[in-house]
Amino acid sequence: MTPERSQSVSAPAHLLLQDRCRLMGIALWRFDADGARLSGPDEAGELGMWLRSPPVERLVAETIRAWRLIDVPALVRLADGFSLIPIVESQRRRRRGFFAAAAFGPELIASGFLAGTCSESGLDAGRVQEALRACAVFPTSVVERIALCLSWSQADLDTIAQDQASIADFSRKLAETYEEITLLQKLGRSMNQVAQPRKFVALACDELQKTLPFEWVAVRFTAERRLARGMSGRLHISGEAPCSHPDLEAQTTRLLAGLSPVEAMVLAPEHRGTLGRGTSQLLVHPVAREGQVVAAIFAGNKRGDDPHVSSTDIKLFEAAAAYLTILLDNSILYDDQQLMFIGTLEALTSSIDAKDPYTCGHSERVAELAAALATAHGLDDESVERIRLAGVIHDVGKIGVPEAVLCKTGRLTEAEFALIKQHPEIGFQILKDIPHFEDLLPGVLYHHERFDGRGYPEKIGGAGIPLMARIIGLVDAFDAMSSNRTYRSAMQRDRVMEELADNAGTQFDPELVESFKKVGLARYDELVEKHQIESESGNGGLRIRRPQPGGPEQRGGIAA
Amino acid sequence: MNEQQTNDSGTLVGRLIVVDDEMHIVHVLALKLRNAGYEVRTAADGEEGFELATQNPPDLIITDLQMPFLSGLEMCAKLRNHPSTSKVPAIMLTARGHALSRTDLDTTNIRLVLSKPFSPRQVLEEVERILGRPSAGALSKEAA
Repeated sequence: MTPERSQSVSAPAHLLLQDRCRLMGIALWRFDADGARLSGPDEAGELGMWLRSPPVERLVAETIRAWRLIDVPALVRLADGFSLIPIVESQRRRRRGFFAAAAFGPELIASGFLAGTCSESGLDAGRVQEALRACAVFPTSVVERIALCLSWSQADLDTIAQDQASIADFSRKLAETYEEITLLQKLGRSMNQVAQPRKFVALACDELQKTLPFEWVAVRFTAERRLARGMSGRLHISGEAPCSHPDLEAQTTRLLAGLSPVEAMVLAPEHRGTLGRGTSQLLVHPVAREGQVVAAIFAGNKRGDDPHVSSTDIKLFEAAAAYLTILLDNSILYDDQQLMFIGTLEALTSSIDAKDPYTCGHSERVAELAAALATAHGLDDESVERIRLAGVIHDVGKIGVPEAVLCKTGRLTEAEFALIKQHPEIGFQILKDIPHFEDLLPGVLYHHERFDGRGYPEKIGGAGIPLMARIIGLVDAFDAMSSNRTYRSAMQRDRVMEELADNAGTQFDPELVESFKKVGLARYDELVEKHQIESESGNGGLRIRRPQPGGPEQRGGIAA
Repeated sequence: MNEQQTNDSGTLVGRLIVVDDEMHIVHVLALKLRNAGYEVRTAADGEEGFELATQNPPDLIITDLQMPFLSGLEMCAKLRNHPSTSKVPAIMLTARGHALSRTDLDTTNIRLVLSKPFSPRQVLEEVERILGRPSAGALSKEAA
């Protein structure tokens, strides 16, 4: 006889047992732990009708009632050649239900029991007997052993089912853990974004929201002023907002006010207002610096069966908050360092500008205008900031030009003018060894080059002049023409713009002249006014007269 | 599961029961503790844990808080009231942030509450601390 194969063990255990019993010619009933019938034999034809007939079902049900009351149910002989084998279905040690397996012997076929039950149910006994011949093959002596085999099989199937549930549980947990590790790794890797804390906040929100089962995650900063640039009062949300933006702002502000710097709050539905729906809780995790709450991470509308915030959720938010604190610390340090650095440069260049009251504030105005022109010309934020910085330091080389020449009231000699023309190179020499300044050097060295190649120091022209230097050169000339000079009063704005247009393609890059027309000059005019006041108070009305120094190439007001 | 577990030097260091309805927690902890030489029996709920503990009292029981049939807290209270297990210390694992009340601690032998996710190494160190045994973790740290 070829052994028939039953289904793969990955099928539900009760279906496997049913399958195996069917292949062996054993009829099977399934009951829950309370004795309710879940399924019965599915044999076809007369045999099936007899198995499911009221007298047979009644006997089986009575047996189950008896089995339920005892710890270890035993095999029962219901009639000659009709044994009912108990198979306990369990989950770990807990009884989940019973199977009743009917094994038939040849004695059943001619028994009075069969004849009686057939007649009670109106079945043709002859046809039932015929059908039974194929399966009524178990002599009484082997039924006990079959019972043992079936109970072992069931125990194995229970274990397999349990192991499969464990594997599913492990896999789910492992996948979650991978996600959590990836989240922490991503946050850690993004910690270098000191110059752009907003980007980090956006990333942290997005990743937390995607990794953890919350519909939305938000970070809200307090109005504390000493935060990294642009972070005060900021609100970022990822996912599906629970309410309108103004409502979110108002509620997060209220919650921030009462938050402990060291402990997360988990708010029940009655305390979280509109920041969630149904039975979902709201998690509020503080972000603190020096013992003060500066921000909080909010997470709401938890998905899944359990609306409660778990300790795993809290631990991950705690890690994100710690990362955020460190990033804020670093960003503040970075900002402070930048401010101090730029402040130092400004102090240095102002002291040079101040040698001559007519150039007071010149470097600051050039920096401001250069940045505005770079923006109007479509450069990215980072380039704009570098051009602004180059504008601040573009004239630093004047420190190496003798004051007697720089502030000379009389006409400059050729030799004196040659000294003034050295300032771009002197500036370059002073700055060239400062780390992270390499990209600013072209702005310093070439801001007196002309588009037609007749400038100095290298007489390069056109696109050969770095863009940064072309930008600074243009706004440098604009500022010189717009300011009072000893030899003339400030030119009218229209005149200055005309000069720029007239010299487009000779002194200036014509494309930049076009872009410059788009630059708003209100901020520049404010600076002029501010510097005017500073100059008058700082110099006590002292006026140093200086005659027009150069030849025709100096027209257009190159601030030499 | 009832085979005698020993440590590297071949001596049985203690008998523990781990109770949790999350199978991965049970497996991870049982493996860590068995490798350290403990005999570990496992249960999937408070009723099963109580049954195992009263049949053959362990030196310490590690249990989850929220479980079907009988919670970890109810189980610990029953163990405290049962003569054979009234002195068995317990470590409780919780998946919710909340702390246990004074009454909870006074009516049970819970010595420590750890919130999930926890480090299995930390659980082992705490078991050894509560049982007053030299910590394998501490020794290896000194060696490192």
